[in-house]
Amino acid sequence: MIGVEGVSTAVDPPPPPPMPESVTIKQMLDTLLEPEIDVAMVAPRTRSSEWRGLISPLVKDNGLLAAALVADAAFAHRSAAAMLMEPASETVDPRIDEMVLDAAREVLNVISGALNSRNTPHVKIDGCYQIPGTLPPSVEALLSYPLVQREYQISIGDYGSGRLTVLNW
Amino acid sequence: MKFLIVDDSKAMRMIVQRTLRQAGHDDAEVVEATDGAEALEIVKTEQPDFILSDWNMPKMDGIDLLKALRAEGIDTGFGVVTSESTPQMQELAKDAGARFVISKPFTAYDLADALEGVA
Repeated sequence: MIGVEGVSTAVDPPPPPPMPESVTIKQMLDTLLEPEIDVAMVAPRTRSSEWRGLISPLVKDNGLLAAALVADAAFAHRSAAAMLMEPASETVDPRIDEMVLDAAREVLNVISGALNSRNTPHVKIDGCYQIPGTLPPSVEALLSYPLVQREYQISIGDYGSGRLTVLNW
Repeated sequence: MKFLIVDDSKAMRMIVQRTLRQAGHDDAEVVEATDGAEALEIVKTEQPDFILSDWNMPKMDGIDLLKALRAEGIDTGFGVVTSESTPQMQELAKDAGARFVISKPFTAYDLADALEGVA
């Protein structure tokens, strides 16, 4: 009996987006925002119903979700204020108005550039949603059960600090 | 000189305008559009000398705007200001006719350098 050796037709899935280094995020924000920026990687938190902020999904060219950026309310407010060159304030209103949403979304858009590389599928920001709030199912799933979660504590001059989270499948 | 700044983010339009002034274009007149579709109409009425456009926008993105302009025989100078930073994407923009591609975030020096000779 002659055996036939099978040939696997399995295709390796494309690699996920790279997780940015602290120094890369610092360089980006140093250029985008006027105040002195400090970025430190910190231990990731478990998602809680008390999270407040914004989530921007990153999708591949085929529309499939690849990763997400999460700005907590403090980072959203403070990065937006710095971008708009508004006076620094210690208070962070948990409500995110249209101007904060627009500016913070653009901050996340700029940071999203760090999740593209020569060797990984191209990704781009696809919207920005408030947390808590109604999220597309895939975004909700990634927020709840990320495979990889990296968090950064980001200090923005006199504006104060906040957290940025990068989620990956 | 009249610039058209195209970006769906009001904050980024402000930053581009501010950086334009820091780059030496203090006397520039600036008009704005929130996406490619709006920009296509504004180009016809305002006739800017140069366009600075984001890439990823709703309704019509920057590259489609550029292609639409060229298809209508409008050869206004066009620079892309984008978070798209990979060489492949930059090549796409230049192949479509962009005079330059600047990656966000950018400095006044980056913008001045890019505009030298083209605007």
